[in-house]
Amino acid sequence: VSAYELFLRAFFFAEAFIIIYVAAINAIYLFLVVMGFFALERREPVPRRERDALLKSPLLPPVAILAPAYNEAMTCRDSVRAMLGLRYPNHEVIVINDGSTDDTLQILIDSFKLYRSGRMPTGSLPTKPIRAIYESRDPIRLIVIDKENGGKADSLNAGINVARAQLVCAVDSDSLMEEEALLYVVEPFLEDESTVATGGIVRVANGCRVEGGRVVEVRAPRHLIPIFQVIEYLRAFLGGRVAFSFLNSLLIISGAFGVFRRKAVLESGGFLTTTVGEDMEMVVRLHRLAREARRPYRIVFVPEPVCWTEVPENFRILKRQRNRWQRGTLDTLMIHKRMLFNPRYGVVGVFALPYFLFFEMLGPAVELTGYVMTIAGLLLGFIDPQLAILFFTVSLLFGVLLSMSAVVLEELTQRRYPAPGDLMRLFAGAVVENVGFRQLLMIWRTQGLIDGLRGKQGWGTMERRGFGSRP
Amino acid sequence: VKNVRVRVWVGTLAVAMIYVGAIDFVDIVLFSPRFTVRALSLALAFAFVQVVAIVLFVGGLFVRKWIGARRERRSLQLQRQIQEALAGVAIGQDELPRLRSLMERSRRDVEKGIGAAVATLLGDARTRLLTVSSALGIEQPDDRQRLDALFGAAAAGNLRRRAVLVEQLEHHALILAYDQIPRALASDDPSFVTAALDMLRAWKRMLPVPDVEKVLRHPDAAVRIRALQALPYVVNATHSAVFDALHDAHAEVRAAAAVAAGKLRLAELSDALVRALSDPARDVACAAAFALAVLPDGVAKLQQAVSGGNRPAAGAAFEALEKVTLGRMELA
Repeated sequence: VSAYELFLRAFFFAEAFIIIYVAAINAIYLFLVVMGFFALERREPVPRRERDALLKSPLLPPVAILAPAYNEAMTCRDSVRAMLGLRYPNHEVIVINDGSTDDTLQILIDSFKLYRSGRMPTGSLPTKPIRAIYESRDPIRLIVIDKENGGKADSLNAGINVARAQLVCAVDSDSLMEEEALLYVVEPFLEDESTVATGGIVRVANGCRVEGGRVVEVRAPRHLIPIFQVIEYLRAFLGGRVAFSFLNSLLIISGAFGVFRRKAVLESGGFLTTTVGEDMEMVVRLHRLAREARRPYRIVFVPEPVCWTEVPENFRILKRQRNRWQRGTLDTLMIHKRMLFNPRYGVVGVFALPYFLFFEMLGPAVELTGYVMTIAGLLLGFIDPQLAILFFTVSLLFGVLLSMSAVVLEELTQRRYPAPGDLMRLFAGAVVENVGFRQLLMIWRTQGLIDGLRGKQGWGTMERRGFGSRP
Repeated sequence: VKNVRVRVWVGTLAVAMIYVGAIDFVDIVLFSPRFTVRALSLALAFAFVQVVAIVLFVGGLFVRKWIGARRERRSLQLQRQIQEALAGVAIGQDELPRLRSLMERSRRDVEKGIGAAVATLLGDARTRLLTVSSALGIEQPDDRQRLDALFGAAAAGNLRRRAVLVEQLEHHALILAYDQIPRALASDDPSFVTAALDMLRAWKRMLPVPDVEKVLRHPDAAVRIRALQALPYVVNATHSAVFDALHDAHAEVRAAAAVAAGKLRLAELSDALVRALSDPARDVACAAAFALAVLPDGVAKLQQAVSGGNRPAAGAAFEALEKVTLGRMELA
């Protein structure tokens, strides 16, 4: 056997491996989407009458909304007003000013008549020093913590220390919340008292009409980049997360809106400040601790939309965001590597974490290698052009099927895009995103993986416009 | 819940099998005979099934949307007619034939409509509705059965169900306090005990339920916390049980006891609350400080604690004093 033949055999073996790998990714994803569909279909909608009764009930647990703010002078007043105006009988808002260098704190002091309060933190999570705690003289439940800059996770920990409610809701201060968002995400805590965390759907606000910090009219975005992200978010939330939640192996609760049992977070040691994926890391840690202690627990995904976020409209910011998400996933997997394939951690150890390792983390790199090899094989004449075209077509069709499923799932269960034109635009986006955009994301995510392995840290330069949250 | 899980699994596996089966079938029937390369024929079958699935998805979606809208329109129309007929019954008209014909179209809607009307009407109108209901063969439970069923649903259900039903049950709080609540409190099942306590807490009415104090010695800490939360709404609650709870092994029970002491204005416990200011759990210290703030000599004791050497106790006391001074105790 000549060296050339050996090379060809190795080439075809690698190519076959990649094809099987990519087919497996897509098949599992399709399986999760189908499971998500059945789980959503079995979910009974809460009638308006019941929701009203719940909103009046004194049995609803108190919730503290934690909103870290860094240089949010432009929007903090409206955001806080919107958070205070949420329909929930017993909630307080805790804004954590994370060492802003602009007028964020002064604007809050002036707008809400804040005074320096003697409120005592009751939690003991380590954080950067707190300079002062403020409360409002008005009859509103608003607390502002002024602390030295330490990042989002550090701010959340400071907020958890100061909060006294049983449940804490971590939000991004630039997210737009649904009026009854808190009720939706608190419901699983009422249904099963072993619930330790819940998250809801984060939706794309680009294109929607926003008034007074609320989305008042839902429209699909006009531009292609955000449309692609709408589909991506739908696919991630309605497909993947519903199914993972059904299997009690949900690993991500979006940093833009997630509710946690305060006691569980305190016992777990709080959000990790040394990773950019603190939301995922916290959820995995909660799984780990509960399973190690053999405690019954649930981490639940709520399919109702809870908040809206503006997604990047240009490639530069999108690339940075995806790079960060990929590094966050890598960090979490490295921190909790001993859970991988470990049956002690149940479905989390033997399915969810390996899924994230092989498909979310390594998947883009493998698929990208496949594309490069196939193109190289074509150019060098190793592969029959017809066969290559066929495989590209199959891959494309699978992608289209997955994206379409997400849009169909949205229309069957949530129906948040009432205009037929919007629905058509989403369907068109579901086809087009598979040609170019998906491949671009693959490159950025591979780059993120390499950066993560090289030990790159940090969030990059923060830009308010276009900063979104992990779907 | 188990049924739902089974159905989701069965549905998912069925779709997966149909999907794989369809690819195999298309491969065998359509492409294998035409293409000798196995990978090629399989890939074509795969592509074919994808295209069909996409077309079915989109087509099915629009058909479903159209059918759903049509069904909704019909149901609304029917409900309007049922409402009209029931209103006629309520004012003494003979609507039996009309209701019979509506029942042929949707028995469920008529049953639901009558059930809702019976639950909201009183007097002659209600009697007439009950007569028509029995003529139609729809059995309506009497008030006693209805109340038992409601209480049973609230007690056996989760906190969510309880939170929804608690408002309806409040109208019958006194009756329940003499019968169902004591029975639930005596139950061996902690979830029934918790349910009864939740109702007392939610109603916020002073009720004669002496058994709540017994529950304060329940082995389950979660039950003890619920009992302490309900205690302020029980007639003749005594301080000894709260005193014992202030020394409970669980910090959350101690904190709940401090809150109860404040709500019940138990001045006899002020010394115990002062000691609780130094509790290692800060939540307990804060609860004790807020409780002291509403007791007759509590403010003076808080001032002493502020000037004392114990820093956490001073912090808690200072916060409570600040809230009293600013009139923000309600929000604290």
